[in-house]
Order: sequence, then C-alpha cells, then structure tokens
Amino acid sequence: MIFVLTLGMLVLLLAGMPVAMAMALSSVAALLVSGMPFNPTILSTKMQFGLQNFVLVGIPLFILAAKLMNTAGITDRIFRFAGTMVGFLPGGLGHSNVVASLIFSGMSGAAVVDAASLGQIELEAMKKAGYPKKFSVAITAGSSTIGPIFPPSIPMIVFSFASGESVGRLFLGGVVPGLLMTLALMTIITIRARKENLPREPFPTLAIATRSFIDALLPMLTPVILLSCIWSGIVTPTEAAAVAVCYALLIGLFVMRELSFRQLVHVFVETAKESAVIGFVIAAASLFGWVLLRSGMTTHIADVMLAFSQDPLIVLLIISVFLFAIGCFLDSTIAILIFAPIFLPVAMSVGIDPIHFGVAMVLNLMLGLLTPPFGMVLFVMTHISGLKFDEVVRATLPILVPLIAVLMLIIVFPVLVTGLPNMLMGVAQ
Amino acid sequence: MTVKNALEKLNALILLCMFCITTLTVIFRSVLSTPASWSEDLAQLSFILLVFVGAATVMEDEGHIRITTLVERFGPRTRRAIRIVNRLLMITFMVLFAKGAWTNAMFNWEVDLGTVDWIQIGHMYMSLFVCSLLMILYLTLNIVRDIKGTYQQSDRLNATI
Repeated sequence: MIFVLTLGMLVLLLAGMPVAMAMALSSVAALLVSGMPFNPTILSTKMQFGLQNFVLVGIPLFILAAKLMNTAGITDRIFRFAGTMVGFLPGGLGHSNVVASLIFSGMSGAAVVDAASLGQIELEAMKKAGYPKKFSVAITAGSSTIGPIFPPSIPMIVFSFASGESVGRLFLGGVVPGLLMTLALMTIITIRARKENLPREPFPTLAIATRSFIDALLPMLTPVILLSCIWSGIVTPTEAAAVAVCYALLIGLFVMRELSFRQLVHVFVETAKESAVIGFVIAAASLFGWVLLRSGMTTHIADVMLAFSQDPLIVLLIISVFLFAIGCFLDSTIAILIFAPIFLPVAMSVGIDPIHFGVAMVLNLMLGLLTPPFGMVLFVMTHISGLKFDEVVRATLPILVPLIAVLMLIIVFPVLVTGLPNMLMGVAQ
Repeated sequence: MTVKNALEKLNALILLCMFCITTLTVIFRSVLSTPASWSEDLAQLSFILLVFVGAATVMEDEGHIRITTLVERFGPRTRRAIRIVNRLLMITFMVLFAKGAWTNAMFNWEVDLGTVDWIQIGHMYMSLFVCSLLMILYLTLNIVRDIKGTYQQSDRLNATI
C-alpha cells in the first residue's frame, strides 16, 4: 500500500499530472491494492471534509486583500516610503527593496504575489539607478520570501490546517524570523554595496519623508490592525482576513480612489481562480493524508527517525535537511500538506514545540522557492527580468546563504519563534 | 458569454458571499453581541463550492498546479500522448468521484446543515456531482482538441500562488 501510494504519486507527478489529481489517483490505487472494500462515496466525503475548516476560509480572503491593495496602487507608495527610510544607506535601493517587501508582507502573505507585484517596481527602479541586474534580481527574489513568514501568511494557515495548531500563534511566531530575514538580507546588501561601491539615494528632506510616510501610512497599518485584532481576541485569524479585505476596499475605493468596478470584478475572478487551485490541492491532500495514515507510513517513518536519534536538535536538523531537499521539487503548500502530518508527531514526541516546528518548516520550504528546478519565485523573476532561467538561478543562489543562516538560528534558538506568542498569548498547554 | 466565463463570474460571486458572511460573523459577535451560529458553516460551505466550481473552471485551461519539467523534455508527439493518458486517468477518477458524490447527495438529500435548516447536505454533494461532470466534460473536450491538433496549453503560472 505504501509502495503504491508513494511510487504512484511520484510517477504521476513526473508525468505532468496535476498535483491534486496525482494525490487523489495514487490514493485510490493504494486503497484498491490494500484489499480493503472500496466505496466511491469516500472520495467526495473525504475531499469535501478536508475543506470543512473555517481556518481555510482565510486563504482566499488574504489573497483578495493583497490583490485589492496591489490594484489600488499601494505597492508604489510602499516602495517610495521604504526608499526614504533606508535608501540613503550603502546600496540604498537594495535596502528599500527588502524593507518594502517586509511592509508588503504585512498584507500579502505569499511570496509569489510579492515577487510578481512589488518585484516589477523594484527591478525597474534599481535598473534606472544603475544597479547590476543580477544583483537586483537576487535581492528581489530573496526579499519576496519574507512575505510568507511575516504575518499574515498563507503557508502558516495551511500548516495550521494540516497540524491543528493555532494560526494566531503561528502568525506571531513568524514575526521575529521575518525581521531576522530582513536584517540578514540588509547585511548582505551592505557588504556587497561597500565592496562594489553601489549607489545610494540622497538623504531625504523632512518634507519628502513626511509626504511618503503619509502616503504609505494606511497600507502600513494593515498588519498592525490585523495582529492587534487577533491578539486582543476581537477576531479569529480567519475573520482578520475579512477585516483586511474591508480595509483594502476602504483604502482602494475611498482613499486612493484607484479601484474601478471592472478592476474589482477582475480581482474577484482571479482570486477565486487561484484559491480554487490551492483548495483543490488541499481537498486531494485530505484524501491522501487519510490513506497515508491508514497505510501506517507515518508510524514507520517516526520509528526509523526516533531509532536514529531522540535529540530534538538533531531530529529537527534531519527533518530540515529533508524538507530543504523536498522544497526544491515540491510546491510549499503541497509539501506542508504531505509532510506536516508525518513529521510533526515525530517532532512533538522529542519535545519540539509545534509552533517552532511549523515556522521552521515554512521558512525552510520557502527557500525552495529560490532553488531550481521548481522554484516558483525563480520563474517569476525570469518572467519579469528578461534574464535566462539559469542566469536567475546563478544570481539568486548566494542570497540563500543569509536565509539559511536565519533558518539555522531559529532551529538552534526556539525562543526566537516561541518567545513572542508565549509572551502575548501565554504558554500553550 | 461562454460557460467558462459564466462559471468564473459565479465563482467570483461565491467569493463575495464568503467575504460578506465572514464579515457578518464579526459584526454579529463584536458589534451586535449576538454570535451567529450559522455563519461559520455557511462560510465553509461557500469555500467548498468556490474550490469545486473553480477547479472545474480551471480544468479547461489545465491551469492546476503541475510539474512539467520532465515532460517538457519529450517531443511533441510523446507529450501529446502523455497528456491524453493523464486526462483518461483523471476522467476515471472523476467518474468514481461523481458516482460517490451522487450517492452521497441522494443519501443526504433530507439532512440539513444543522445551523441552517434551508440548506441540505445533499445540495452540497449535488454541486460536487455537477462540478465533477463539468471536469469530465472539459477533460474530454481537451482530449478531442489534442487529437484534432487544436489544443493550446495555458500558462500555469497565472493560476499558481
């Protein structure tokens, strides 16, 4: 059963079958060879049941909020504001790029959205200012991975669904790692800027700084509003997504006045389409996960790993190496849905905090967005930069070093993840 | 307006409903201090509809997430053969899915949602049944297009997060 399930899925994936269908078909094949009675009603029951989770409603709503903000022209204002804040540092626009991604991540929660929307503006500005194209591409790609770590985060919602852990705690757990990634990337930019004498922006006048701050203030308040609403218990993280949409609509329609009815319809259609694609994978993963559990594979893997070591750090490092390799080949949503139910029980059995594990897993898989052959951000950068795919890969690989360093840091020091949620929401029982 | 366009608009409407329902949850609880027991169930139901109606719509463009790196290395004839075999396998799954959804719809036709008595669980399964038929239709159409040589592959990046 295990053999049919894993080999079946692998073959179907490599044959270009949609991932959701590969999961569903290999699950059916595994059920048929297991000798257990097969009833087709189980397919629709398990697949719809997988979607019956209020947490998942947050995914389309967060995508919708980010798209509304982007259509309302907020990305431009954020980048201008980031420029006045840090543009005067050596390698100024590189820093602006990273800081803008951090601000944008407070409303998007998906790396590809960040790279595709903000990335275009960032690359254009850096090109005009005379930055090497490959350096600009690397920084833009690297900074886009902050989005899924800093709250709100779609991969964290997916992890919460796969593990049953609190989305609020996961969101808060991503704050410090997100800031550390920002610092790590800014350090690399400073080193490169000093070495290659990269340009910097003039120090902004008070009038310019104030103007750009006022322009970007409302969108920048999004993560503050969301986190304070979640933290104070006024709304659940899913409801916070609806609040984010309301806020984006208010800004887009009444403050920026850049959202037309036609644009609104387009944003709703596109969001529905993207959400359905993710949701269909989640539905199929529910069926796959159910068969996986029945196959006994999860217990088998746990036994093998625990026989090797029971030290939390070593177990987490082994899992991280595995996930890093997996992240190069599988989409993060799919990897979370398949591997969180397998590895989380192992991690918890050796005393690893599930929030620590979740944030480390998501960060690790986000690195996969920057690694060939299936790094989605690499595809986006190739598309918007005009460079060849292998040029983008070569340019982006060095940017993995600071991000891996942050991953190692949060693996070794769990308090960097668990500290904030424990402080604000109390220690989980 | 094509069937696909109509489905896209319908799905956008479902998303709008889902957003309104979730917002109402907050308003009822935090502003009116009367928690709405029905809202979470309805939001979840709209999400299920959104996913299956959307999955059917995306099926025509074959915009679901897939890994094509290996397949792209083959020649056009081999690629076409693989595409057709894949679709036949998907149709097989969708037929089983549709059969199960129909049985579930009949079995649960009188069972209400619990918090919303005018919505039956059977209605939800019936919509899954209809969506699976649409997917079978689109997959069959794409096989025919591929055999005729009129099939054009879409850019999957647009449908991927």
